[in-house]
Amino acid sequence: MLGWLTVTGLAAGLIMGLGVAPREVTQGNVQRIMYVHVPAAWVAYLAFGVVLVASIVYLATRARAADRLAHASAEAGVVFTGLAIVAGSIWGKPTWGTWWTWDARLTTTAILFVIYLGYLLLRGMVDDPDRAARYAAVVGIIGALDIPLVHFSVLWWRTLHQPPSVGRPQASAMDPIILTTLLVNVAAFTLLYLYFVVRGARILRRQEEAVA
Amino acid sequence: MTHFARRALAVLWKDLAIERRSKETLNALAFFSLLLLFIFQFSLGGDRERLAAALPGVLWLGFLLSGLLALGRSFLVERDNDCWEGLLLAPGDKSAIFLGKLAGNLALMFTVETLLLILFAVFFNVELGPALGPLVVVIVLGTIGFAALGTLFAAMTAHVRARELLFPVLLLPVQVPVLLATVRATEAALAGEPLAAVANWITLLVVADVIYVVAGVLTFDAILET
Amino acid sequence: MPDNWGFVLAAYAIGALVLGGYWRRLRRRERQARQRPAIRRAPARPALSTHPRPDPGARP
Repeated sequence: MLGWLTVTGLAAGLIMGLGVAPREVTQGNVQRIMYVHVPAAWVAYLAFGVVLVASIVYLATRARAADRLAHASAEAGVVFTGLAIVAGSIWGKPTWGTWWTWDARLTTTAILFVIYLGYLLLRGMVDDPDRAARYAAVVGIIGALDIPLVHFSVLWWRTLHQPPSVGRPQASAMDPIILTTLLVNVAAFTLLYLYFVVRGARILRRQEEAVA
Repeated sequence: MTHFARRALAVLWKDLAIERRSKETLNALAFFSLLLLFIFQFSLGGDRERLAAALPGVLWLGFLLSGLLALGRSFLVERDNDCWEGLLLAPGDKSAIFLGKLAGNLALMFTVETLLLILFAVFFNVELGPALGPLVVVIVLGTIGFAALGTLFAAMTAHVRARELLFPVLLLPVQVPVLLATVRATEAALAGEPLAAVANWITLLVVADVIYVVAGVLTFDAILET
Repeated sequence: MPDNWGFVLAAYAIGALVLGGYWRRLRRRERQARQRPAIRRAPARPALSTHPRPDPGARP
């Protein structure tokens, strides 16, 4: 059922993003890439938040379900982070003239990507599953705790990126249709993330049962 | 003295004693520092002004590279000499072991960093005098953050295959905030500015240090379990 | 400002590829995970039925 909901959401997001939403005034149609980049980035942060909570729960309770959740969420998170970076880069080429700049948000996202790639690498290299779970939980927690530090340090180091348009106290100068389209896509991506995590965790459980 | 402190000190004393007898790590690291200096000069040295501008970054690159080698080996003594079970079976709070190891690593890092700093001052003609106070503060804060996570990850990767690869891969990304902060603050210090000018970076360093050390203390038990 | 639809479509296409690719990967892993328990159980049965004399180790 989650699957069908996801498909509906994605379809709606696609239609709105490419068709319904109007052509943005300053950037032109390139702005539509934001309907991919922003939701992906949002899901990435959500995924790593889940990794943090699940890792803490695992270390506290040693519940295997928590470990599977952390693993599945980290994997999905890496996928969405990678997508966010690529989409952001594609948006940047016509807008800023280059594929990559070391601006605050792109850099932070890239570091996030590498941290959680390391998380997955660690899991792959530790043979004992119990040890892998414990080590991964520690890395998951430290990685997540590091995110605000990374964010501020990179921000102070560079400030080129546009300030975030959603969630700002002052009224956004954004067209309401654009805002709605953005939120629809965010919801769709979130559903897709949930679908990935549920499925991923289920696969992990089956793999554990097969070995047991 | 509490049990906890006594155990931490015992670990520190053991490591220092081992090192004092063999001196192998320290000698190798000192030699490595000298080599780093040469490599930096060869790869960056042509233009004097360019090197001077890059100096804070190059200095911390030196600290990082030496640190990766030094910290990565933190637990090899236990692993290679079959003392790992001894660590695991020791009763009581394992976090004391973490702090003892951290203290030992800090002693090692500070020694290497002092050496590197002197070499830099001599070979790259850097005026250290007035900047020394703030510089020391920055180096101490940065090294604590680096060594805290380094000790933690070293314990984790001691038994993993491809340890030499996984250790830097795990450590470097999370070190970015500390690296950014220390290089900026070092820049300011070498330019003669007071630390108050980079108060935000110093605050970040202190916060990072606290988070990393506390996280290490809280999670070390989970890492050392059988 | 030129419309750059090429970039927009490229971004959406890559999105579809990445997300679709991950979905296919999950589906493949699920299939493998479902097959494995069957593979482990299968060899046990023929060994018991074709063995002529009683194996002292088989029945504790």
